[in-house]
Amino acid sequence: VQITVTVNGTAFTREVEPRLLLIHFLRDQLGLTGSHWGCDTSNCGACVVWLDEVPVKSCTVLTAMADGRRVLTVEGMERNGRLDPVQEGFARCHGLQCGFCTPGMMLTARWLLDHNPDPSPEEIREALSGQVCRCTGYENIVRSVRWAAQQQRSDGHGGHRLAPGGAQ
Amino acid sequence: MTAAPERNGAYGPIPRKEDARFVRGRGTFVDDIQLPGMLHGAILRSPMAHARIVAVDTTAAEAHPRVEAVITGQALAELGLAWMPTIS
Repeated sequence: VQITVTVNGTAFTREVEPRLLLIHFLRDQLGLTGSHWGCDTSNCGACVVWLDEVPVKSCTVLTAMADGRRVLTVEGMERNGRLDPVQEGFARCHGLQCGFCTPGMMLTARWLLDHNPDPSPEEIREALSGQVCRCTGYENIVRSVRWAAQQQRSDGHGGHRLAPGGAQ
Repeated sequence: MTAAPERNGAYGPIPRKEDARFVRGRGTFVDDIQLPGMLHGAILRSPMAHARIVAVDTTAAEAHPRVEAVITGQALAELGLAWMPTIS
């Protein structure tokens, strides 16, 4: 089937097999290997990207379902040479070690902070509960998101809501 | 303990070199690597949890026009490679 998907603000029209999963489309056809194919069973969350306004596990989304829609991946989090506060928080607070789960963690955290600018540690854990990290024990991930929340409240960061029509 | 902990220098937190690429999705994990002529591999395991291998029939796989190689335990044994890489 022919699809047009806007990924990180750029529209891509491609012919894809109906069975092709979104994670494989992003990684293998567009070369965006920041999103990771971890468990293939919706358990680990390493493949999380945004589909329109919502984080989804892209190993459980058919590429055809993304037709006409917008996708945000980790590669689209940095804007105008400036890291998202979430990205900066993960680096500052040691919210990662091996880095495999990090893109999915950060995209879900971005969504959380867009909806709740001052989440408690419990709310952060709840939001990230669909995602697995085998390095950090989660403590520093919670700290990273808290750091980002505080940072964006102080610098007026407007969040990363996707503009209508695919422009970002 | 009277001195406040140093936030910089030898005892302070030091940014990790690798985080700059990890938080941008620019790490290179094994599955991210693309090389010219790269092949895909698939491992076929016994459907039985505890059984004796009587025979492995590879003819159908070898006859497939896009299969480059079929490697069995027997083939590895003939090359002296049929060992388990464990630390035991």
